[in-house]
Amino acid sequence: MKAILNQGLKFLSNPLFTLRIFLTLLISKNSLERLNFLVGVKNNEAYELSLTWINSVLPKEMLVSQSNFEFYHYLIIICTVTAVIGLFGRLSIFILALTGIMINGMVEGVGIFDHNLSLPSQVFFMLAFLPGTMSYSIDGLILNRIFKKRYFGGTDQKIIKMSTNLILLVLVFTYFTAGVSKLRYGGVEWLDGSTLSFYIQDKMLDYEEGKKQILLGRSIGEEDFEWKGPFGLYSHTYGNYRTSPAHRVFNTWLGTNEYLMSIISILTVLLELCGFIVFINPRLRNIYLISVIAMHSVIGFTMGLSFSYYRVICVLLIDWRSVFSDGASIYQGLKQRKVKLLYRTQNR
Amino acid sequence: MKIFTKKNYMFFIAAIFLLPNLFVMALGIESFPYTQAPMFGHYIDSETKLYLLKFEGHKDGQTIDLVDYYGKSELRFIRHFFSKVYGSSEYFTPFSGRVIEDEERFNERLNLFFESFEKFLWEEYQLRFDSIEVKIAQVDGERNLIGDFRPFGIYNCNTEEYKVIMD
Repeated sequence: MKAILNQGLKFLSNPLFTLRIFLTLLISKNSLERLNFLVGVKNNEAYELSLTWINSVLPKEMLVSQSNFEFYHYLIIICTVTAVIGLFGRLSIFILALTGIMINGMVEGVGIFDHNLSLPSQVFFMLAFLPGTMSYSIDGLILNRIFKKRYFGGTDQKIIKMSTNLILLVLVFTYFTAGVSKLRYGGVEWLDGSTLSFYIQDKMLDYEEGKKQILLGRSIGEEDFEWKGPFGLYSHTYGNYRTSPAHRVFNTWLGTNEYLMSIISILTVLLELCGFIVFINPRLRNIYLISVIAMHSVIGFTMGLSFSYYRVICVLLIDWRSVFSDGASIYQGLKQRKVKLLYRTQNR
Repeated sequence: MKIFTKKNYMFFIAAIFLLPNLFVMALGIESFPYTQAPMFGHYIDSETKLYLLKFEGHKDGQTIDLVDYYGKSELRFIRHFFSKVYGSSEYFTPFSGRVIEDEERFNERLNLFFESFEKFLWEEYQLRFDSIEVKIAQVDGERNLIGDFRPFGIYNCNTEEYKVIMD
């Protein structure tokens, strides 16, 4: 039992390995779903305005169409298997990551930028280049046999730490950017909670087609483009996908509580801006990542925006060695207290 | 001095992956997978003006509401139109990958969009119009109209030109 636990901890302590397995499966699943979406949706022409930066430099023939749909379908399935077992692992991850970025770029071109996929796509792409990703892989076994020593990266803790810190840096930077955006576009007023209150109570899916997507407008300012018309449109809104009565009751209660909404807004921005604490020590890193998971869970519960891929990445980046060692010390502490209490009781 | 060291490689990888993120954050733009994560960033309160857009086709004095002919959900169609085509009235918009914006580029994009949409309407639904009009209406949070839909812009399918309606 102890051996199994130790082996489990060894796997968990190598986020590069666990990220390789989980992100391969999640991103491949997403790519296959989006592939079907792209060939199913009618108005999907990849014309100039719908191309992302990356897709605009790819040859047009590479973009998904009815003629290459099957090719991509099988390519994703084959690369998923080879990336998981680690046979031509880096190449497989590279192909899967690039295919996913291309497919989701096309989905953005059709209309919606999927923020749930932005960070995971980058992290997954990084795995193709970071040392340590191919721990526990067929590639590693073959290279170890050929070079009669541990394959570059292998399970060397120093290498794993360096690569993990780089992934953490990109993660922290993403949240920091989100915090900056809230203050940049919403100003300090954003902290009063009315914006989140609007989104939490919105019932977008209740409305008929033609009445779902709202745009925000204001009086034209001096620096605005007045030649775009007199309505001063400056943003589209995001959707709340919750429809169940239970969620609605909770959302109304939460959304109408001004103080609570303001506290949640302030905590959200603080959390997003303070991500760099993850580099101070493993305990703060764990506290931060668990807080982020909690934040996404609240958003998921109230708005139906799961951000599950972010949550998976955060769970895998938790320093599990530190969690277990803290857990063990707490357990030991409690045990000693119990012994002392027993000793005192017996001596009375 | 050795250049190809593990440390230098890590710096190189860090730069490759962080620089685009820094770039989009500084300029306030996004293009998948790079984003400055602007979700819920724009302030909304009871004073904020909320609008709906709709597209109408005109031919021989007849008008067709095109909501059933977008070829995708209204959410995707309107977001595509706002982000990729029309753009924000603010100079820096988090909803596109454009760094530069001016009237000429704006008109070019609008013409390109309507050219593509017109082609789609014909190929998919065999619909052809003299003009396609964009209309706008102010609404409240429950989507109740505050006033009627008003003209926002019009694309002349014969001259292939979009015109902003300023009144």
